[in-house]
Amino acid sequence: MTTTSAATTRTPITTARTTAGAGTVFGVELRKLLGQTRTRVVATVLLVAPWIFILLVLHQDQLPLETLYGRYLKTTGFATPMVVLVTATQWLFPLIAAFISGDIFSSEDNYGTYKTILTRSVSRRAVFWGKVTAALVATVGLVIAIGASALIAGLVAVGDQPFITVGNLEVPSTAHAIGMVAESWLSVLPPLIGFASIAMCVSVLTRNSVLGVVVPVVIGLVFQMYMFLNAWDTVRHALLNWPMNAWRGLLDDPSYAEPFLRGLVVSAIYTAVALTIAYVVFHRRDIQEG
Amino acid sequence: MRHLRKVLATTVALGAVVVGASACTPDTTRGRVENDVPATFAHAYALSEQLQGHRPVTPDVTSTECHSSVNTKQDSQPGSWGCDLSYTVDGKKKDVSLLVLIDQLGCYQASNTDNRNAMITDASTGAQLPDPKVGFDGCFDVYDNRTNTSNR
Repeated sequence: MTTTSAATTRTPITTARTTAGAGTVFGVELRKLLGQTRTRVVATVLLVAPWIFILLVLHQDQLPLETLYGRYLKTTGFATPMVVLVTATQWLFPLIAAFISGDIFSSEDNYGTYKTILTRSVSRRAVFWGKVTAALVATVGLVIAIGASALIAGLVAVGDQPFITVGNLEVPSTAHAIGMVAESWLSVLPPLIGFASIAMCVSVLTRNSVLGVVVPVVIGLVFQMYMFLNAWDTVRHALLNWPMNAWRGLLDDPSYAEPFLRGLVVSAIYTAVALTIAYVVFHRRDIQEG
Repeated sequence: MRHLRKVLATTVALGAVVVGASACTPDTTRGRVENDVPATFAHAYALSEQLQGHRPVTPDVTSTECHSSVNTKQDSQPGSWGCDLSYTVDGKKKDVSLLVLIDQLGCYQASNTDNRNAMITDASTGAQLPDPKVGFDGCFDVYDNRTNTSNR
């Protein structure tokens, strides 16, 4: 009689349990990322920087001629986002990816909160994909916001004179020019996601926030240093920094998409390998100690 | 141990493929430089005229010869290149010598060796600008089939 009573009492509790999915974790993680003071400060600095840059350029005689599009900074406002893009692809984008994604997993280790999360009604899979999606959305969102800020800064400070392609042809249509700038900025997203995936992988493997941020940045620096070397070209094509420059072909006359298409494959391989390793390690890890 | 051997064998095989592939296809070739520089020069010339408020004239480049100053044996690799162009504009035949500095990404800065600091006035804004005709940037496709190097 007592046993039957216990069973009938236990059953409703089990069915009433709801399992939060990856969407719920995504929402929580994104709010956490956007609520961090350091994220807000860095985002503000990066959004204001293009405005300061173009205002300084307009108040001096010299132009950064050694940078692609540097010679057109006073000719058209559309050159501003292009110069920012050239600079950002070298150093800034790997840094942004590491900064946002590098501690999204290890911060839970630092605070010892995994035990609390995973013993509640959230599966490991939901936690993993929720965190991954939040980090990627925040990284991609920040980069798109920087591009938009640079474009508006150029148009306000210099004007909407015709865009000039990599092949030195004028594009009279403003809508077409905005489309080309958007296309070039969007083309860097696949390798950016690759860097963010490496950062998350390191974050899971090391369980250390400092290493999660520093290691991807060092990897990006090493890749970039190899890009400057007069070494094997095929190795350069396999590095994650190479697809970040594929937009040059898309904006040339005539345009060519081969670097972009090959870059998509390279970025997909880095992303898939990094996230697979991260998922397997995260899935198998022991959380008894927090 | 068997697993380690597999990993080592795969790494060595991949390395061999990378080395083999890179040994025969340089990104910067004479064919690519000689194809891209005259086309971009023609566009830059027309752009210069257009910015100055003149009729945009596109020159007809009749001959181009480019050679690497770094790899003189094979005419490949990034670095400093020299290009001699002959072109006709408004029926007049002209020549120009360009110093072309090529980077590892397949992009370059070209400048006229005689008059690299010329400035123009932008007719629409009144701003003083470097003349695109004597200094311009460009990029070429490192995956196209113009893989020929020197034929000197």
